[in-house]
Amino acid sequence: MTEDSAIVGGFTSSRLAASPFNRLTAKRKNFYGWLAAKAVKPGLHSFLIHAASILFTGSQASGVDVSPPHNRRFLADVVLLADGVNSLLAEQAGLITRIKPNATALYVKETIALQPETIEDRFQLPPGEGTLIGLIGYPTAGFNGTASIHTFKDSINLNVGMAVSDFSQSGFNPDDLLERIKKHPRIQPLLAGGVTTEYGGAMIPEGGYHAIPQLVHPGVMILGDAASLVNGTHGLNQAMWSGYFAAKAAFAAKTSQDFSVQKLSLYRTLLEESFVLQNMKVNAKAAALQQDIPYLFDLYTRMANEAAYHMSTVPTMPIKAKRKYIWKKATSMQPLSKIARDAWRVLGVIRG
Amino acid sequence: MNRLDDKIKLIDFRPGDSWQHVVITSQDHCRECRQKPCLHICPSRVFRWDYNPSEPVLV
Repeated sequence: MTEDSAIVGGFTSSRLAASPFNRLTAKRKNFYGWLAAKAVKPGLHSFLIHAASILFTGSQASGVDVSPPHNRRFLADVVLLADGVNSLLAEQAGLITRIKPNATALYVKETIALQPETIEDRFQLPPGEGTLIGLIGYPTAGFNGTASIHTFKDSINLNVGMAVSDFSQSGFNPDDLLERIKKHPRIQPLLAGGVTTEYGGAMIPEGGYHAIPQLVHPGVMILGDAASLVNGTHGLNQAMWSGYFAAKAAFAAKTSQDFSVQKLSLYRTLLEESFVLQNMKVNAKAAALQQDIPYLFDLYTRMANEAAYHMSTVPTMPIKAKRKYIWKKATSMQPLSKIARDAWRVLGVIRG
Repeated sequence: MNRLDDKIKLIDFRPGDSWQHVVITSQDHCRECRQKPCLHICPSRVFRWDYNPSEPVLV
């Protein structure tokens, strides 16, 4: 996308909208409530609005202290840390270093309510079906980042985000980017007449494979976003698998009454044997690519849109001259040698 | 809806009366901080400053 243009590509299939469903969009507040209920049902305690700290006996974790207003202490053989991207518990306990602003993205979201028929009409959807639209270029105002539109039955989610360090450097507030996208001539008609019903933000670890901290400590395993187990758009599924593997390791440790790093390392082994860490390893260079080529999304979307614009106009010059004009236009925006170098870097990331 | 304050009103939050969950422990650190990223990155604009060097950053 640029200020006035967009190149559009897509895929649609009835198979995605049929059982067995493989990819779903859920609202966090609904999903978290559902998930917490699943955990509480077999007897877990769920505390909201609290701070916590890990108890240690020597270097071995031995439980968790929950702060006011709950004031509870839980003794445990194993502590599973899943407190999100900015794991203060792990940091305060000296288990991980502080997260880096260039390896952490900040996303904001606005939910805009519309009539179901309006959504289906504007996004050309069969009744009851939805869509996901990814946006790059214009939404992040010159920085590498992404935006997206998710449709629901009676609302649309508009999201945008980029690295925390880029927000810091640009001076943009995340909400500024949201408002900017809403005014784009291709986006505005999709949202017209909608009423904002929700607003929120979230940080996402985007450091990739090389940002994964030491996952296992004496009596402690670090999970999900706290462990930086996010691979592109895959985060929630990976977090759930990490919870599953950590539970297996905890069960094995409990059975043998051995809660050492060596025993709990089964967690890391299971992650390595699964798609979770294997996929992250394949994409390990992606995080560095976005940092090393800070103009990647902005410049190349501009070049593509510029070329597409001239290809779309009815020529008043010979077609051969027009092709040369488009080529010169593109290479005036970025020298050919740099295009080739960037393309080689991208190819390297794709090849893994 | 375009104003951030209006959007924040949509969020269901219950601040604790007995403790403040965001506290600036050292204004000296804020004075030495050149970029003051906290003023930009927070989606709720929790941190505010009137750009007067003698004034503190407020929560």
